[in-house]
Amino acid sequence: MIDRPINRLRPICYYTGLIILVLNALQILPILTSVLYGEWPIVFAFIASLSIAALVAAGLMLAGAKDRYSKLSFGEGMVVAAGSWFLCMLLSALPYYFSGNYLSYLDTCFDVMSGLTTTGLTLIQDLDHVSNGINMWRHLLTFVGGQGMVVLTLTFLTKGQGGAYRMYVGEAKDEKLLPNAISTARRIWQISLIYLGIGTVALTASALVAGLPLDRAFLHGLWTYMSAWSTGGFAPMSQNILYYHSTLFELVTVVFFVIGSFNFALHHAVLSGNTKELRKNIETVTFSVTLIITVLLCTLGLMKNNVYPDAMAMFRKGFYQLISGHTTTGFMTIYAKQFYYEWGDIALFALTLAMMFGGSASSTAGGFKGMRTGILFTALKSEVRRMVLPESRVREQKYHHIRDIVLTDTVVKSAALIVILYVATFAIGTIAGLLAGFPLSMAAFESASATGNVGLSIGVTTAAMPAFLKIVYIAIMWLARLEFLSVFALISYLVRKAAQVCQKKPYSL
Amino acid sequence: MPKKALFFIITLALLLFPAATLADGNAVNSNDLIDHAKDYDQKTVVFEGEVVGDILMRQDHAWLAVSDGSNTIGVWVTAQQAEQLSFVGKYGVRGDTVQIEGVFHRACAEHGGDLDIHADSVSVLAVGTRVQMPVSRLVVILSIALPLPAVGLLLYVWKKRAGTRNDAIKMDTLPDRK
Repeated sequence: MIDRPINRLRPICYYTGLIILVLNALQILPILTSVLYGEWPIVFAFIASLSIAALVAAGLMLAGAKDRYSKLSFGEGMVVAAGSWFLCMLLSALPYYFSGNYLSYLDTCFDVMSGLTTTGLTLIQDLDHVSNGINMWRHLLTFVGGQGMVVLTLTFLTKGQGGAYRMYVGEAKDEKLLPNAISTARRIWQISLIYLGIGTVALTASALVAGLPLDRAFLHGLWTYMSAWSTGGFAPMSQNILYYHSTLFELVTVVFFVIGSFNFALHHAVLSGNTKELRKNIETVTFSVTLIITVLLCTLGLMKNNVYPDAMAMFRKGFYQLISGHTTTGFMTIYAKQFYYEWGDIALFALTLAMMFGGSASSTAGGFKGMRTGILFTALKSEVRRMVLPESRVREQKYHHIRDIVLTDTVVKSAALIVILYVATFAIGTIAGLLAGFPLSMAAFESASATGNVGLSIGVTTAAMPAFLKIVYIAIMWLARLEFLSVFALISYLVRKAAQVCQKKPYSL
Repeated sequence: MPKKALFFIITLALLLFPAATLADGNAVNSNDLIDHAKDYDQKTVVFEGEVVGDILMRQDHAWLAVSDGSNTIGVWVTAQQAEQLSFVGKYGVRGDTVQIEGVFHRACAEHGGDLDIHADSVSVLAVGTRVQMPVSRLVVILSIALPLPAVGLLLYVWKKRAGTRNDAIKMDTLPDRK
């Protein structure tokens, strides 16, 4: 397929502006929340932020309005996706900055990127006194980030708009649930909103049982659902899920973050009546296998160190953190430092491994993704079979994802490439942690958490950590969430434009 | 005093540090509790901080979330002990500052492995209060000055969009019309 190179600024500006506008228009919800609770300083903060974001978005749309109907190339679609994620980080951080809950603008950018990428690491100060408006914004960002802000914007476009699918792919989603990208985006939001209703009711009821008053139970239920479904990990209180001291609340979160970590194509199939897909799909099979292996390893490590007094405690602490890590959610029911001081090397290794495996492709989760782990394992199995069996008995290798798909070298190469990039990014994050003075186990754990967009912390991520480490983690979260290629396309585009400027070559918008 | 003896005394003091802070009634901070949880496990500690969030009632007991500024620790109290509280900390409210004396658990068997304190006594050191939240003058100015230009520019873009759409229809360049 011959595609145009990335060289037109106007459509890139237009769609980037549109995405910024749609995402930041959601600030209306925290404004309403703050008005309801009389949090007036926060209302002012949101109005100022929304106005600035609207001005920037309108400016970009104005610059590109002339070419808005021209079709984006794949490269341009990727530049729009990566560029809008970066600009949205800068603009969506303004309410945080104006609220006074952070020590620096860099910290606010860190938290926005962490929210949008559904990572869940946070640098917020005094979370227990944070306003309902800011909490609403934190959880909305993570909810939209899970589905994707491009996906959100596509739902507002009319059919036939050029390059919709190319932007959709740029946001690391490639499943076409329906014939075109806009219908697919709408279907993804339909699925998420169906679960939003069910999840909020279930978690509100659980919070009521845990002892919260009705309005707080509703807000906590809504926010925790948003965070669980998006495999985000943010919570309204500094103790995270430990705050509720409730087995029921923990179990309900497990249900929603596990469901949230599944592929949207799988949701679509199951909701369309194809329930067999749940046990046949390569990703659910891979998830079950890697979960069992890592749970066994983690339990072994915790038992060896005699960390918990009984099986119930082992389940509520060991299994919960493990499955939270595996689905890349990052909800915690222990303190960050307890990992380092109490869990021991084997359990920490199991958890690090689980965070790297991650959830499913085209879901809200991060990590390698079950699809790639499954494909690589199937390829390995196929190679071994090829070596030991006579040539006549070697058959074409297939894997099942919605339908049976032939395992080709191209598929294996593509999966291996992304896994290699994840491992390289993990290594860079670990080295950065070591350079900042943290021991290897802590540096590796936190790097795995950032790379897998997980959010579990061993205590490295605090406002006191060096600025360079915050920047490295921001870059890692961004790269990993968009699965590298879009960010590489953006960097390549910026380098080419900079080269043109340096050589004083004329170029047009 | 010989150096060896001094060294021995200092080492002994450091080793017994957790027990010493408990014995004389000095409050221990949350970082110490978490970092040296094994040392403090099953021992009576004194912990001070602000009650934040909610009082989670559980029949004749309740959970308090007590923050000393570094971390928030769950404290298991009786309903009677919880009744003496007037304010819990949240946005715009400083909660009661309390002193808790109770048994610390690194992984509480009664509560599914939670790190918590089971309070023997709860005393209110300072009653909480409503707090006036500061408003930045710059933010107020921006929030008054910017909405109108932002809405104006958006309306202009909307109008311009309609114009380019009409041009595109005239030129028959809309992709879905091809």
